[in-house]
Amino acid sequence: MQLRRPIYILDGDERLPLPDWSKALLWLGWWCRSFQLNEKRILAVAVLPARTYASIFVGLGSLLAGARQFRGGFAWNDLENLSPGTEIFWKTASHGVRYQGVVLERHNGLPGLVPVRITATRRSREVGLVWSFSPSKFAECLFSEECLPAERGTAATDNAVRFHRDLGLETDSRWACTAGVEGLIVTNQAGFWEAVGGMQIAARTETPLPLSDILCAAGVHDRTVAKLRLSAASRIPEHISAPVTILDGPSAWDQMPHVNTGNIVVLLERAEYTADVQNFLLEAASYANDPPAELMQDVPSRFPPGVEMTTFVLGGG
Amino acid sequence: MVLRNSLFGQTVRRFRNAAALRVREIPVSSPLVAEVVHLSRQIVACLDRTDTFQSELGRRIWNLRTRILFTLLPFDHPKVGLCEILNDIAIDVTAIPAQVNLIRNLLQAGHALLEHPANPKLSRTRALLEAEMHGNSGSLTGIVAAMALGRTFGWPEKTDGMPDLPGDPVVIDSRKMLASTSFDRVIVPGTCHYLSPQMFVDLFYQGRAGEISVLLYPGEYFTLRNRQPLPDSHVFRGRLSSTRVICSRESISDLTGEERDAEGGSEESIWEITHDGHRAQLPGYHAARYVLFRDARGLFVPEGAHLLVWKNGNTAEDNQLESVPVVRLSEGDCLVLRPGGTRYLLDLESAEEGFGQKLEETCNWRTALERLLLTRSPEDIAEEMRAVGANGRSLSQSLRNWADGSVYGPGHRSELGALLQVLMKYGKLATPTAMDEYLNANWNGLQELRGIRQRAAHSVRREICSQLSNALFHLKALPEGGLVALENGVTVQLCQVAAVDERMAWVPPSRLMDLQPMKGI
Repeated sequence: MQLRRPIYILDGDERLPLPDWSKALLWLGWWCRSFQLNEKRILAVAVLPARTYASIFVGLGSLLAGARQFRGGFAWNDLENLSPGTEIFWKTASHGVRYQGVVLERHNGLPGLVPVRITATRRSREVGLVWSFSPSKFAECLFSEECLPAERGTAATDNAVRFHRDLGLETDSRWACTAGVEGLIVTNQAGFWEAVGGMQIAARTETPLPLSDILCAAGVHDRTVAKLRLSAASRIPEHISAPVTILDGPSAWDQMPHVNTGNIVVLLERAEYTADVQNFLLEAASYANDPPAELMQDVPSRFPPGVEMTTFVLGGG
Repeated sequence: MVLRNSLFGQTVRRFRNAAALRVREIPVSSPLVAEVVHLSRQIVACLDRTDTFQSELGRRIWNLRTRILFTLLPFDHPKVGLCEILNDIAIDVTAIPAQVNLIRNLLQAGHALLEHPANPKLSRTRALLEAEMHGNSGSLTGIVAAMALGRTFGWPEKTDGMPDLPGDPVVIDSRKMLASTSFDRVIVPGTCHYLSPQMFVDLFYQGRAGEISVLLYPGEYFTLRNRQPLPDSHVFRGRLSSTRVICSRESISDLTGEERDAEGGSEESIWEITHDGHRAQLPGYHAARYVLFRDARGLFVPEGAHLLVWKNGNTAEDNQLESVPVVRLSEGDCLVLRPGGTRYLLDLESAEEGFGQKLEETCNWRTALERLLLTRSPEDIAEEMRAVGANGRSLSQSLRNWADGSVYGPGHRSELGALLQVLMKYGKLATPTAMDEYLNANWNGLQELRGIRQRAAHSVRREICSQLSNALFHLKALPEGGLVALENGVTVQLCQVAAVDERMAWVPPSRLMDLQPMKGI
């Protein structure tokens, strides 16, 4: 992972360079998001003295990797291929008015148009109207399969993209508004937001931005578009599939059998690394595959003291 | 760089501390305490722990020893309770003739401490704190009080009984207290041998303190327990940095090799005087872990069992009920035990699905069995059932339970078939034209009853959990006696964990989940 500019954390009015342990966790998230293996998955386990900020940095790493891999948002073809009855969200570029609607049956006499009935918008008189989208009309709007953020949320996603650019990354501005997550964090959500609260992050000398904006995070039951989804260990929904699932703590660890897709990062404190966990990992080690050569690229030559990690490539028969 | 005391600042500090922890062993000289340690070790080594009386004596001596080793109060302070324990031991002085002289010497050494009550560890602690204040006035020091079995020995229950110490140190009497902040230095007033594994890892490996000073009398020693390493992986091989724990001792060890070895068995001996589970597998015995509670009661939990635990946290999400495997219990967790008054709720819930009527319809064999039991013994009936294909091990007891309705009926179809055949043989039931159909109808009825009861139990359990969560959400601390009354009339017993025996014990089934006072109480 090559970031052109150093990252600073602003804790209150104190500006700190990103500590080495958090860089290691940022890298771990980036690495696990970058490599999606065919029919195989990466299981990475980090055992730390403290995991208060661990899921935040792993999550941030997976965001940066996901944004880098992003190729185009919701395209005209995607809209054309939606089946009737599908829910869709859009926003007009000119006025920023948000709409929610359902795709209707195509009219044979109007080829090249996709009719959508408006089901919700702040302009109440427009509810129930049918808009027929042509490619040119489509280009004037921003579409998403998840609810687009309101004004404050838009500012936050703009901040996220701005942070990427401050870091020297060329993130497409549509990335933050396109449906689909880069990671699922199974954690204590109150603890997560308490840790994020009041923190700011900045690239080199750029203006600090709220960490909460940069993370583009929302709960799994929140309908607004988000790039990181948060779930309590007791309530992982079945419909979520993420390229990376971050299991933060022993309760989240117990949910591993329910994570069916993508790579897994487990974060435990040292006191939480029990004999059960070790036995599981020893077993995993015994049937792990050799890591493909591509995985070994960009692995740092040295990790800082205090960060203990192991990883296995599992599956694929 | 000076870090803020924010959550992030504390996290950064914990990583720094864990990366290079300094542990200082500080010998504290006291010939009188050394004598007590030496004598108590000699006596305990000769005790026959299978003998209840000697085991109780061992517990008293261990109690005396831990109070002397771990207290920072003057030895004659009433909260140390030395006088009472010496009196308890004195009662037994002549009961073990071979040990009379050793026990008398121990009592003498104990009384000598009462006559010279100045506590050398207190003086050493005071000196350490004064030096710390001169060097770094804003630093935070903690003193560990929960030194064994998650409890404090020789400490007052409240900090207002604590000796006046410079720098206002924090008394760490639980894991929660240790985790509440990050310390510049932690003073451990004795051997760490009796600290639970979780407390030990928290203290030495989780970066809670930058420096740990361990005060040791002659005869006490400190050993850094190793942690389990993560399995090696190809990707990270040779790239991880090891964590350093720098141990130093202020002067040469006073311990002889023999004394070090003698201390080795102490941790095990605490559990021997706390519970009577067997260490070796016995036929008919079950594997279990012993859980000791703060109120000096304890129980054996089946190995692998999950328990409902209340994590009393500071945030709404932490303050919740969790199902936790017994091996993951830790000090301070509150176990939810014995919901009382649930039978009525269960009946009420089952009644909604017509349980009572179905019970009468599907178990008409019950009255026939009651009648047969008037003329034949359960053992005879069981024998006859075995002759026609039943193979339950305790059939005679089961027959009594089926007859009085405390168990709905046989758990296997073949057992029910055998029972019906025997009842028909003695003319208590009319023989049906199609036996298979008759058996099927009875068996399906029984299964249906069980299904109703299971659904009702699930619903009641969910309701209790929900009400308990609400009740606990508003609780700041464990209520008096650990009893929580719920709105639906159910009373739930909560017990706070003091320690969990790391080693497996083997106990008869009747001892599982049976809450009893710890051995010797």
